[in-house]
Amino acid sequence: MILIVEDEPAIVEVIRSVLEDEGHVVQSAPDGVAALDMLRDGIRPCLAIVDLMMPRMDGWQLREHMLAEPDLADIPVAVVSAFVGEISDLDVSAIIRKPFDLAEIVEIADQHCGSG
Amino acid sequence: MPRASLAGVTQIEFGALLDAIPEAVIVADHTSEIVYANTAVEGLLGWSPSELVGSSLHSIQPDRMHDAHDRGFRRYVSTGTKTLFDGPIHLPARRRDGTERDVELSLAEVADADGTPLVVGVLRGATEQVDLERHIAILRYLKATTAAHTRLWTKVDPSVVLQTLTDVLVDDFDAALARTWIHDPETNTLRLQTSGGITTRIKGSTREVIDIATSPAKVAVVAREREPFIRVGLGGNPAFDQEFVARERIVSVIALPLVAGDQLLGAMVGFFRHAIPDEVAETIGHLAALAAATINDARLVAQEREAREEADRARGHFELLARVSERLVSSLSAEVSAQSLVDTVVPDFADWCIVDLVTDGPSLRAIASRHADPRVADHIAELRATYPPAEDEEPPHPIHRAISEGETVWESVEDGDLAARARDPRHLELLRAVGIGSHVVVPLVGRGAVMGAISFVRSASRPPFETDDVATAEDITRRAALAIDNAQLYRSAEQAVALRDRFLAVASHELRTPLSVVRGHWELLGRRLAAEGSDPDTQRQQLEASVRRLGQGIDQLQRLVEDLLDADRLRGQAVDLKPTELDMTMVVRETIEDLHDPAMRDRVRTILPDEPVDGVWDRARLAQVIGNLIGNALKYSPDDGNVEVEVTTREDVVRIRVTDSGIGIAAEQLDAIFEPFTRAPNAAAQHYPGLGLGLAVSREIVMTMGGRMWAESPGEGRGSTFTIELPRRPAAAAEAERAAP
Repeated sequence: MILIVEDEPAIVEVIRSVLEDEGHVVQSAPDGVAALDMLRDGIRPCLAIVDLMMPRMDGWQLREHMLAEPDLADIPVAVVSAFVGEISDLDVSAIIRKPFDLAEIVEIADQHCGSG
Repeated sequence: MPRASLAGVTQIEFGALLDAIPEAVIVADHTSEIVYANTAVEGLLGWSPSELVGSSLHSIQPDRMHDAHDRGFRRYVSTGTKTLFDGPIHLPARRRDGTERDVELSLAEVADADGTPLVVGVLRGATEQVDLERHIAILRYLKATTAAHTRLWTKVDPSVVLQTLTDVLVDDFDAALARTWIHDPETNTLRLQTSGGITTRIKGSTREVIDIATSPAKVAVVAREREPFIRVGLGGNPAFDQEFVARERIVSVIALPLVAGDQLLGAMVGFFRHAIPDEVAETIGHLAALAAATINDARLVAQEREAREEADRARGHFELLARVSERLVSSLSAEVSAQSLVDTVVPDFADWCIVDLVTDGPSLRAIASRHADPRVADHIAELRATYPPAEDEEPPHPIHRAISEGETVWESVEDGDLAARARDPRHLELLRAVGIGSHVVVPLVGRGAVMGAISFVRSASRPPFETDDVATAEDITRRAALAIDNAQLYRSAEQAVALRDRFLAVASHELRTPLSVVRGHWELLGRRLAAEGSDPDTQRQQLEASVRRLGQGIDQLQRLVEDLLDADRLRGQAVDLKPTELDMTMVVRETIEDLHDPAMRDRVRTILPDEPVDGVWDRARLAQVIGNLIGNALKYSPDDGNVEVEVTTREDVVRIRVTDSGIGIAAEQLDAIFEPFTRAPNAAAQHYPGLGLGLAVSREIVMTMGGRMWAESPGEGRGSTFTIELPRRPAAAAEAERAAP
């Protein structure tokens, strides 16, 4: 199962569609707070695709929380960002820049979750 | 410009020389035919030199300028009139592709080997880059000014003050030559006091003593007329020694009288090898005013020996001024300067001092306040929060009186006066607790405009302010005005430099999200069309969904691009309005109905008058402004908070207030959020999307309509209110109606 954490519904929809077309199971959360709740409730995605800029709790904060909890620290995270500058101090598996290439997302998903 | 001869320079050398110049150079003969163009012309205008040679100067001019060019050129050829030869001029040029660009043109006359006169034009692109460089130069000068202030203010001997002024002009402002004169009132003459920079002979002004009444020298003229003289481009001006101007490559001059009150103290002149921007000329004006004030103070100290009692007061005044000045110049922030000021004058000079600045709305912004009794601070905070000084109070509030009349308000305050001003018993209680026995309120005037006021208050338990104290308060305020004005100039120069960076960061971030949606769905569409064996009905539904999303994404991109273009169009240009007779309540209702999302519509409450509110406005622009405010109110109110839109009228003014219960605005951001590409930190930090343009564009529109617009908020997390005030009809229409019988 892949978890998408993103506040823009249109972006969630496009990523979800392509991943479901490829046979993946997808869940989504609109911000870091909701995502953290889901993870603490026990869902264990094979990959979390996380937007950096979100209200309430952003991607940086979510990643910090995940790294601080041993149960969640090993979940692979790919961040998605429209941020132009350099993204440093982020211990993540992949960085996807907006506007992104769907093939790139499919490839990362296949890498971590097998092909569907 | 003097006529140079190129005799002896061969054609080839001449061409190689001109090709080496980074500026575009075009040479034309007396029939307006282009005889030479260098390679830099192609970079600036797109024409290659070979294309231009042999054609008319009309080729590089917009059509509308041809007639004016022909007239001026004929006059120049037949009479030798060289109106435009006196320094660079700005005008549009036509590029090869037909577009126009602004250029800076300098003209000179030369002769070819046969002595036939030719006209040489040097063109430089006048672009925003130049503007940025100018702003950076201004920043540098302002920083130098701050240091110069400290140096000037700490001197007591006039000759040292004038030497310092000369040094500052030469060292920090790159003057080629700076000179100062001191005024002798007995003989009404100027005596040369200092000279710095190049040591050279200048015809006519080497005399040590200049008679103010009769001398034609510029220093005598500025001293006589008490008016500054600033000139860029000195070539050909008979008031200046042309040999000196040419030899030293002098481009501009600034000559200023040194005046304190209505007393002439001297004069100064600075010659520069570069053009002085207006802001820098202003800064030099400030320094000269400061030097004059310091010389005046020094004279006060000199008179001290003659009358001891008088002198004690003068010294107290001078010492206080010196202390205030020293503190004022220590910062380029208006808030920090004002806080040092109130900390210095309380408690020795006043028991309470508060510095208020005018804002774009009707309210004042207190940037510093101090009371001798710290326990009163809470009372003052409550007084200002609950009973802020209002424009329409009766009797008028002393601060608003000082601001609107531009004159010092000085009065004793009796308990009866407080009772008359109090709006309710709590108000009176607070006014009494603060303790007001007498006050002096002095308007802060900078560059001809009233920026705010400083209020000096003494409690009833000590002697009230006297005439001398009023002079001290006015001197302190004048210096504070210089410091605050400089701080604001510095801020606006800094902002101009930062604007471009912000634009790039914000625009690229905001464009990337919708671009991702469009690109993603386009890719998805391709993948699904290529997918084999899927159910045709499902496939059709999926395709329809993608096409719908693509449309929405493109709409969003288009809106962003239109916002950007709108902001660009509005910058520095008047909004084109198409006013018609309208009912404001209808515009508000329709704007709310036009909201995309029905759930959003339900969150907007309206308080509208029962009667129509008629007026003459541009419907589309008005809807744009109101829609922007309602949209912002909804966007920045999380948890589905309600938004209230209220329309009220007072005489010929209509007021629209949009109130939300959202994230609120910090006090220091209330003005800044109207700057283009500027968003309040709490809005940006929580990742609310936005370009930071809506308010800037809205305010531009409201101002063009003759109205004003401002924001109020009790603080972060506590909601905001945006108010628009509009006249019912444009000023011109209202006047025409009044004039009609």
